[in-house]
Amino acid sequence: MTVTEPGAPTTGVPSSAPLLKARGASVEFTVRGRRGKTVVPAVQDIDLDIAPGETLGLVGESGCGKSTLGRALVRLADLTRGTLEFQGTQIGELKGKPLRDLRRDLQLVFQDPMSSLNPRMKVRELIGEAPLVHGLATKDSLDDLVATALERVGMPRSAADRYPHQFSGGQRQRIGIARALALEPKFIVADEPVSALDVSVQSQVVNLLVELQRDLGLTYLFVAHDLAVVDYVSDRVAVMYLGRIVEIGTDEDIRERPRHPYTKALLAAAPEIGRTEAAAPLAGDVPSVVNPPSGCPFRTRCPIAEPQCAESRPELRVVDGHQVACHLV
Amino acid sequence: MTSLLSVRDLRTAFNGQTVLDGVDFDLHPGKTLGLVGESGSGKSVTALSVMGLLDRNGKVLPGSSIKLEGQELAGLSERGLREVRGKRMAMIFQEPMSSLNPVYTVGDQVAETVRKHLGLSRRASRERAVELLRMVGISAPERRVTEYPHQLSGGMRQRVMIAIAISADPALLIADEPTTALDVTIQGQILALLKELQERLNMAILMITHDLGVVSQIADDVAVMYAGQIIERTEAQRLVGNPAHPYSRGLLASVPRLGMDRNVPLPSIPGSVPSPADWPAGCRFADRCEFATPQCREKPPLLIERWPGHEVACDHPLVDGVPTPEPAREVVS
Amino acid sequence: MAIEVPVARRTSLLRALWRHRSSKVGLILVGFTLFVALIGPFLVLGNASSDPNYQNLGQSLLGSSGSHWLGTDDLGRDELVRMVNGARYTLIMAVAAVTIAAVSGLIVGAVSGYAGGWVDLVIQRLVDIILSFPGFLLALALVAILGTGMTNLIIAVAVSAFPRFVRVTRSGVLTVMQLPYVEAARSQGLPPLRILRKHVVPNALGALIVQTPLEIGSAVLTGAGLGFLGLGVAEPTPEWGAMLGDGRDLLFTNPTLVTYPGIAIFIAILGFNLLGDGIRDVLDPRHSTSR
Repeated sequence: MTVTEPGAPTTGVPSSAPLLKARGASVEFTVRGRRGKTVVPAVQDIDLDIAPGETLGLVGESGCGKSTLGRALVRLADLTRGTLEFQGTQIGELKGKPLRDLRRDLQLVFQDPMSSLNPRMKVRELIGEAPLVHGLATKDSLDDLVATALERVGMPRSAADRYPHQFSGGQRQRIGIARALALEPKFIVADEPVSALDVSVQSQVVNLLVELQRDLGLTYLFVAHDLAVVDYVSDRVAVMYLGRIVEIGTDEDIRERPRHPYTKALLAAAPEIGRTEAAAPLAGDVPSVVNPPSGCPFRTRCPIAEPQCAESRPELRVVDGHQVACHLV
Repeated sequence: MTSLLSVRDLRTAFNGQTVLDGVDFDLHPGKTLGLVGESGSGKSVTALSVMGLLDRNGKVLPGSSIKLEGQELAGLSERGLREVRGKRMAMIFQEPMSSLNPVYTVGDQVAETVRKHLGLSRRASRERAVELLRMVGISAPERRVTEYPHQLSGGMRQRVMIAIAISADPALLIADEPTTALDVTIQGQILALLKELQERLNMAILMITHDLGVVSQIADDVAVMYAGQIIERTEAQRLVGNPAHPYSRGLLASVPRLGMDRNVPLPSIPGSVPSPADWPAGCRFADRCEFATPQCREKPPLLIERWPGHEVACDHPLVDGVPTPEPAREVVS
Repeated sequence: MAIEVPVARRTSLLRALWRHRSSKVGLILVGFTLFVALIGPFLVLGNASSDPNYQNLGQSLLGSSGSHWLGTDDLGRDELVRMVNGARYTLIMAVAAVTIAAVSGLIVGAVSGYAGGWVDLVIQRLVDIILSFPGFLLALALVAILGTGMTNLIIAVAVSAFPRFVRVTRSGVLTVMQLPYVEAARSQGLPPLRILRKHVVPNALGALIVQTPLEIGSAVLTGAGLGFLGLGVAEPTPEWGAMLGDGRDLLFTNPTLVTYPGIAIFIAILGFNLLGDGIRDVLDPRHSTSR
């Protein structure tokens, strides 16, 4: 493994130029409260390369910044620091019309398929509005475009004349996917796309996403808290904790050779059918991002933490063929 | 063994639309029954019917029976139910934040329940509150009692809810998706806590969940619900190993596991759960069932004990994943 | 995969309001007032006294009779004819003023909420200033400056209702802007004005729709109040408030002269208020208190 550039991820990245490249990407929110302004560092110093055609899985618990990172990569959250490159072009600073044009290439599939569809629009308009605005269709060709988009996600043409509330959760998520696909994007962030769905419907939607990627050559960032789903869809998996990536490697690396204690805990905690005894649960709560622990952010819950962990924050380094941010491995 | 909670032919309707259609089950003292189903299966309505907490549009229909320690709860007045609720049975919910009052401290809320149910003095109930919080694994409870719900994490809030629920030492705890809103690492903590408290207090738990992983970790018995009915009921480990209803099997198979091959599509159940207005006349799962025969669509199958301790509502129950060929109405083996 | 899609069960707003008890009464009262305003003047035609301003001093202050159902006033004008004709002035004034206030409030409120930043800040401070005057006093002051007359009355009432519409729209817009489908519209690269027009505003209208009938009711009251003080439409226009004012001096001898216009004002306001409450319940059944 050769390091081509300082800070570049070194594992599992195919040799072709990355489709999307983030360096030092950070997102901070300013919250005005009773005690004045509080800066919430949701995402910190992320270096990430995503190769064309790959699926990068992003796992972590609520509040770890995984959704914010996903939104930052498609320019729905602004970077406070760092750079973002798409197909070799800097996109971190784009505004106005150039940014709106760029959005064709970068799409998002939302978690809640109900609240992400405008309740007053029929499916035809939900799917067809943006292609019309971007000039991908004319008023005459719109029906065909919508029908194609619907059929691609396994919905009948007749769905175009209905409103979102007339569909089940799984069908709504299909409509959301059809809407994203209608712009012929290159990169899709799927933000917990199945966690609001029933178990039996989840697998339908996961299968659809995998199939679409194969047929259309899409690149995904798949954000989820369910490690098993992420493991299934992803080529590589990144584990986030308190706004930072703590381990990143191929799906097999993460599944078979996890090195970070947090990754191990996540793997052990995932409820597994047929197991009668719960794994020894991780102690304590996730600390606040506003007031992270000194040194390693995970040390307060880490079963193997040592004094040195409180002193300095471990950087990602290559261990066992993939990257881990831990002093003790 | 006499059952603690005995539910017979429970029917519940919302605005005249039946959503629970004849639910039967027994829960024995100190045991855990997992009630599993997807949204719209009726599992939460079952819990709310037992607790008498249906909103004003919901109604338990005449003929239903809900017996707790021999006392009939169906048709009991709100005042009678209040006597039972909190004392002999208690409930925890998916989202603890919405069940806690944001303007009172955690200590006040626990102490108030203690005072109401046990009739303790202000000071004694305060002490008991601290004790309860310690029991549910909250560190430094003396300090935590002065905090407000928004200052606690999701896992902590659920612990507080559990403390309130067990304050009167109930015989039955109904837990409606208690871990769904929590992170995986916290889920394990809460499940372990429930199990520990169950042993300590000899409390029966009715665990409502969509998560078969949770069920197999915590439940002794499982009842699977679909479209307002129980369609399979047996020991948890047996259900997980030998599901006999095609729906149970499909549900188990659709849960993704680590290490699955992406080139093989995940097993899934086609279609979606029918809404109560669209329940088919015959077997309610027939439209989504790969093994359905024309007869399945005509006559609704009965929940029959086909193997000792294993009931299933299917005319072609699966044995090792293969349907039995003949519509057998009598008990097999 | 077979997809069964349930048929839409959308009932029209009007039908839902008719089913709701209090808004049904509201609909009847408002409908009655509208009917009187539109058709009434033609029904009371027929003789000389059907001109609301026809004076006949020989017939002043008569009680109810076959030829003057509600009697006559001190100038011998038919009370019923004046009431029926007055409905038109009151309604035109109230509806016109509230329409102007609602439309301008909608635009300003939507821009304020959507733009945020200093635009929002400036608009909100201006609204605060207007709101710091009691609505009636503001209208009174405006009429005092602009002079009396229908147009000026409409402007005065519109200005005093306008800031409440701005507030209601702005808070609706702010709520809707948090929703994922607005983020979805942004992620699709739609231009900001289009997002505001097609995704935000249509979903933020609920509160404004509830507010509108309530404001019409309050505009009726403001108009009548100004009329009562002699600051409404010019004499001898048969405006309800002005009629009240005229009858004030005869309160003890001929109480019906204030009673009838008072009842008319009461019916109109009650009707619009019940309608507003009903719309709120129908649009959001969770707020329903009594049905």
